[in-house]
Amino acid sequence: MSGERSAVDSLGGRSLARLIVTIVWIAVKLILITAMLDKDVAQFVYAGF
Amino acid sequence: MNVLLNPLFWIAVIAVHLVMHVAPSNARGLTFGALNVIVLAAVVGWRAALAVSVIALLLWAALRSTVALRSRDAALMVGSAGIAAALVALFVCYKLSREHPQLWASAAAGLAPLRVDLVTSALAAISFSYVFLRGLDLTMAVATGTELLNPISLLGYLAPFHMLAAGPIGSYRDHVSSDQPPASDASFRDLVGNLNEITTGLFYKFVIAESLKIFAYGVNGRISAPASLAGTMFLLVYLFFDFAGYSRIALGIGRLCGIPTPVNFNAPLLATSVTNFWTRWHMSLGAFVLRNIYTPLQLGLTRRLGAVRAHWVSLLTLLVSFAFVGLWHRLSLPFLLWGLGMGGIMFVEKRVRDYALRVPSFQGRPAAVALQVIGPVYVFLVLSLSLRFVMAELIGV
Repeated sequence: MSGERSAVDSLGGRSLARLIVTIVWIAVKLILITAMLDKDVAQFVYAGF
Repeated sequence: MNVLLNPLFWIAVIAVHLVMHVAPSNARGLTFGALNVIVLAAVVGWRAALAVSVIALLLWAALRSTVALRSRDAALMVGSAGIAAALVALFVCYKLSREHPQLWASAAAGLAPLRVDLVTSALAAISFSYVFLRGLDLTMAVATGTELLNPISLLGYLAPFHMLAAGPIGSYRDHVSSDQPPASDASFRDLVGNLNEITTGLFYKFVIAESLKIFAYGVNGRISAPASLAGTMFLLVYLFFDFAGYSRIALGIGRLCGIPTPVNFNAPLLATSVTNFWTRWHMSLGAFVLRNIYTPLQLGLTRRLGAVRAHWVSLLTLLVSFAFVGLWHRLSLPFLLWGLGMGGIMFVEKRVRDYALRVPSFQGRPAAVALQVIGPVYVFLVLSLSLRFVMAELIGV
């Protein structure tokens, strides 16, 4: 029984961790998108190329 | 201005999501249709909203009259064919006005008092090329027995605001199912998943595609025809991120609002054959062609000519289907030849595949691994060469 519970907890924990990673990834993408819409950043990227 | 950079568009997404969340499950299609026309008027302009409303109303009235003839098969077929022909005629006029303005100006000179230019600009605002395909899908579905929705619900199918920029082409049969209750209540996880889809699409479009564009053409540069094959390959990658980005944004918004929105891309640059590529790139167009052109034509021809001529039937259906795809993109000879070429390549691939299935040495794991490695290179090369063939048309218009 304890083994089963631990498997379920671990699955729930993994699922929560995945959700948090997804939320962080969404935030990172939003920051990068907002930055790229700024012409100064775009110029900076071009200079980098 | 790009519709995705309009704050009103995103305010509309949130508003539609909230309203659809509380809308009764048996009136979701109706609610979305009414909201959609308001959003179109606010984001694109009242002319666009009016154009969609007129098209939806005319199509509904024509289909309603045709459905009344259902007891007489021949009359139903003639009625549906007439509606499809009217849609094709409107599409041809629209394409001529956009792609061959001089030819259109002389052809429509006598219609000047009717302000045809206002009509064509309103059609352009609602991306009529996509509305045309949805109209055809609707006509074919209703002719074969699918329920005809009311005109307001049709407004949400023909020109949904979240598919305005670059499709995809939703199936009418799927749209009819939006009035059924969702399989499960929307959870926080679903919300995060949909936001992830939308931001991935925005990331494709405004970070990856935009960086590629800046790299090749500068900050405010315009896309021009590449001089080399390598440049064309680069442009193909750019087109993928730009187009797939739009499609993922539409998919995320569609799911957020509970409106059926098809998946449009599935890693097409990893395809192992051109045939495989067209099941992974602009998948909703491929599904439309399969539903409404390829399958009915193949079945009809096989019944008439018999299974003995199956190869020729297969060649003809592929040529006709891809000629349509080519002409849908641009109404020009290079795009017609491009479509016929694609159909021809897919026919040859089919014959090669049939042959390979009969040879035992092509069945092993080494052959499968070789296909996984060589296939994408071959597809990338063929697609890049075909893109070069229509480059002038694609960039020039």
